[in-house]
Amino acid sequence: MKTNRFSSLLMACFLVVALLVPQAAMAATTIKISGSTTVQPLAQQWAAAYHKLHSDVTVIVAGGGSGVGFTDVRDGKVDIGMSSREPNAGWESSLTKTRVARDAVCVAVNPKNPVKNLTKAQIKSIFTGQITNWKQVGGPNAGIVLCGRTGASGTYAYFKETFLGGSRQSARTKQYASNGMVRSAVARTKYAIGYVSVAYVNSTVRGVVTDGVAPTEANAAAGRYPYVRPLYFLTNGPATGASKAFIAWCISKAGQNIAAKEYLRR
Amino acid sequence: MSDLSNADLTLETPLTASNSPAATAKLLTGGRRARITESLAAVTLAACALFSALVVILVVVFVFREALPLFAKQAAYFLTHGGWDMQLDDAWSNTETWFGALELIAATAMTTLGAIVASVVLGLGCAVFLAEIAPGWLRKPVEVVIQLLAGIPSVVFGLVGLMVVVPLLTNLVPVNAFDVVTDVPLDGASLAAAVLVLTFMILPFFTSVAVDSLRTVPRTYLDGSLALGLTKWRTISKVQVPAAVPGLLAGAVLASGRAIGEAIAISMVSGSIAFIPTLKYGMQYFPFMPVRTLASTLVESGGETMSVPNIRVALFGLAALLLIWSLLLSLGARVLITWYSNRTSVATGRSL
Amino acid sequence: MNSSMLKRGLRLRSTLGPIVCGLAALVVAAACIFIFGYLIQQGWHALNWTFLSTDPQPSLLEEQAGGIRIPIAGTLILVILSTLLSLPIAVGAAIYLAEYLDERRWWTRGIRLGLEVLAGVPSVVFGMFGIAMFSKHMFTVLSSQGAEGAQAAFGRSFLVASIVMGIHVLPFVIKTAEESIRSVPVGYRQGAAALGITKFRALRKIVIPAAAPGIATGTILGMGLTAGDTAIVWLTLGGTINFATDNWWQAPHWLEVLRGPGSTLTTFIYFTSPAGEGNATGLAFGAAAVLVLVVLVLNLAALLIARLSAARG
Repeated sequence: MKTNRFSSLLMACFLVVALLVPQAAMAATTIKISGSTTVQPLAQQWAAAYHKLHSDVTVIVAGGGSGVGFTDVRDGKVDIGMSSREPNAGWESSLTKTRVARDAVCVAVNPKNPVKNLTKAQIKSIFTGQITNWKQVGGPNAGIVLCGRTGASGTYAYFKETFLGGSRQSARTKQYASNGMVRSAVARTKYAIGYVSVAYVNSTVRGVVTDGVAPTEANAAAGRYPYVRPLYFLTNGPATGASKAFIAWCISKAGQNIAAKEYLRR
Repeated sequence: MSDLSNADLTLETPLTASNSPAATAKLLTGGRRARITESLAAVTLAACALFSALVVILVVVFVFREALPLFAKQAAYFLTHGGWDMQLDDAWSNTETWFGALELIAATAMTTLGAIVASVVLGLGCAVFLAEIAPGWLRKPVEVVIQLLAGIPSVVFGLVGLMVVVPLLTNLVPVNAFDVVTDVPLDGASLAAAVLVLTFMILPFFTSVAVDSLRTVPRTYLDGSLALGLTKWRTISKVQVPAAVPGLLAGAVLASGRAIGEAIAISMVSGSIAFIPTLKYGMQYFPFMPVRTLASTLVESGGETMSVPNIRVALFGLAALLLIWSLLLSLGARVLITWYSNRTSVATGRSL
Repeated sequence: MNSSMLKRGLRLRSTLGPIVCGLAALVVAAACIFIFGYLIQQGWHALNWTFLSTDPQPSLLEEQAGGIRIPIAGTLILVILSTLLSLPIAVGAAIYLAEYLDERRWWTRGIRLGLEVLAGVPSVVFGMFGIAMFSKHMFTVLSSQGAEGAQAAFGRSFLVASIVMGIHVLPFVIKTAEESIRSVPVGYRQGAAALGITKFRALRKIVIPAAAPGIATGTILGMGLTAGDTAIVWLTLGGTINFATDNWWQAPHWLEVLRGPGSTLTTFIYFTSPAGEGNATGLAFGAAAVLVLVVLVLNLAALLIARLSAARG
């Protein structure tokens, strides 16, 4: 009885070790990426395509916002940080940035909202809280529900600089952690307005025609829609090893063809 | 039966060294090896128990240690000032931002209070029904259904709340709200939604404690009351429930401990603005104001903001606050239960 | 007011009272049934094999297609791993509390207090503790290394989540296990002692097997808690959908999977619901339907075990 149980326990341990040891030897490479939710879908597409080409390399993509991308890559938690804005002053020296694509930012409303056009000045007044009712911009008599991003967001930083002239978004803004969340908030709230990357605009929300130009990828690529910003991959120092190969592939023609589908080429 | 006098008294198997009484005893007790096993076992088991009891200290110490810089510098400000959303915004660029958690604390207090009141009222009714009124065949099924509510994951409550409760409440928002209330946009995702969802989440916990306390009211009280001519209902309402009050209180405190820690469901239905609902516009707008509680802030911002030192410290400050609060509640419940059981063990025969 | 008016008012209240209570129970039961019904109705489409065996394919513009295979696997991994980690400790602690501990000692109260306090910690605080603690460099073995030569670990993986979850459910399993051990008739122990069987041996061979149904119920309770928890998992598992590697079902990859992030049914629902990224409410409901079915099955199993063991006597 006793010897049987003991030996079966020994066998079990042996099996576990036998299963796990080869994995240490196999040591597939993993590249970890985190940061901007704007870049995240693109990075995920790149990760999937790259994995098909190099099956021993796995790329894990997490979100969090550009700010998280900076700090995670600086702290060494990830190999590559994604960002949709320039690194803060003072971090320029330690982080190497590679532009991998470009992206446009637009303002989106719920499809049921009759307001289709806004000027840049109106957008600024709306998001800084000076205009609070849709009737002030030619819409129905209803309050404006502001949907914005948290402080970590590169999209917010760009929006703040470009549309709001540096002013903070109003205290009434509901803060969300990603482009996707802003989009779904606008999609389910009739009188909501929010700012998202153009790549995220789909049938559930409608991009607002800004200063007469519709926020489409075509207009952005042609230069007619001017609110375009670069998207970066950041590394702590120059990229090395697997990360370097991956980034090189992303900026190559193959990678850029994937980017061009929903974003803009670098 | 066989004639015992002729019984063969020789043993079937002769006694040898290996099955003598001494040997058998050794087999059962195991001798020296068994003593080692025994002591080893006792030590291992004790280690398990000690680990389980002490791991909480690890958690508490860790959380408090991370939050220490915040409390050392700005504890009073943290507890008495608001402006969390703006401060979070600033903190990404300015490392000297001070954080004020007042809105979050107030929101937690309000949602918990609302949920407790609602679930005590509803839960007491359920408990009375289960303990005294339900006919035998109905009791168990209803009890099972109510307890099933406890097993539903909080994210499911959040999903159903988001898809059903929030749209319903959005329709109830007074039409002129946007003109009158200029601070925040009113929406279905609000205090009311949070309280509603939270009520059903904590109700099973309160109800099971309530049923227990109602059932442990000494039968002599109830029999005496009925003997005096009170109706069953009056007995319940005037004698049984008041006698069970300490247990009910403990249940309410326990349930509120559960309520303040609820993060996911609340974050899905309560609107994403740190704001203290105010009565200054009138009662009809109050329930529809958005809130954000301590727990929901943690789950929304917790993952991504670990890297910026001052935000990290602030978030752990929130966690430490939440920890202290829920510890006080669970210890309070324990104190109440102990006090109650001490009283009833002594008080049989004595009127309360 | 004369006595007949009083009596009438009394009779009214005496009949209304029970009705009101019955209504309360009705409201609560109706809410519960509504939740289940609503989920099944919305998530009905999910209960086909294709949906359950396809991986989710997150895409930017289209409705998220795909199924929920990865989240289901994730939930399974989490439940199994956290049970494996916490069960031995929980049962060990329960045995110690029930059999070895002297109620009069001062440290007995301390241990019980510690367990009580542990039970009161909100799960979101556990999550915070998890990501903070396991990001320390010494825990790199549990999650992956951040980057080459980094000073921090990624801090989020199945191993981390399982450990934290195991700690979270510990007090509940201990409580149920201890109760069931205590409820084993004292005659068993006395008989064993009369036969000269030493304490631990008696426990191992006689008392614990007798308490097994209760311990099983407690374990299932813990599993239900693990399967349903979102806050801990969301914070400690990385907020992504996919596992660390593609062919996760193959044994050589298991260590990588365990050390990597992923999703479970709960985080998947949070992620794809309108409160998260998604315009993929269909997926969210499907996952929610599967999740409540899992919880239902676990609850019924626990009930069944309790019923069977009581019948056995």
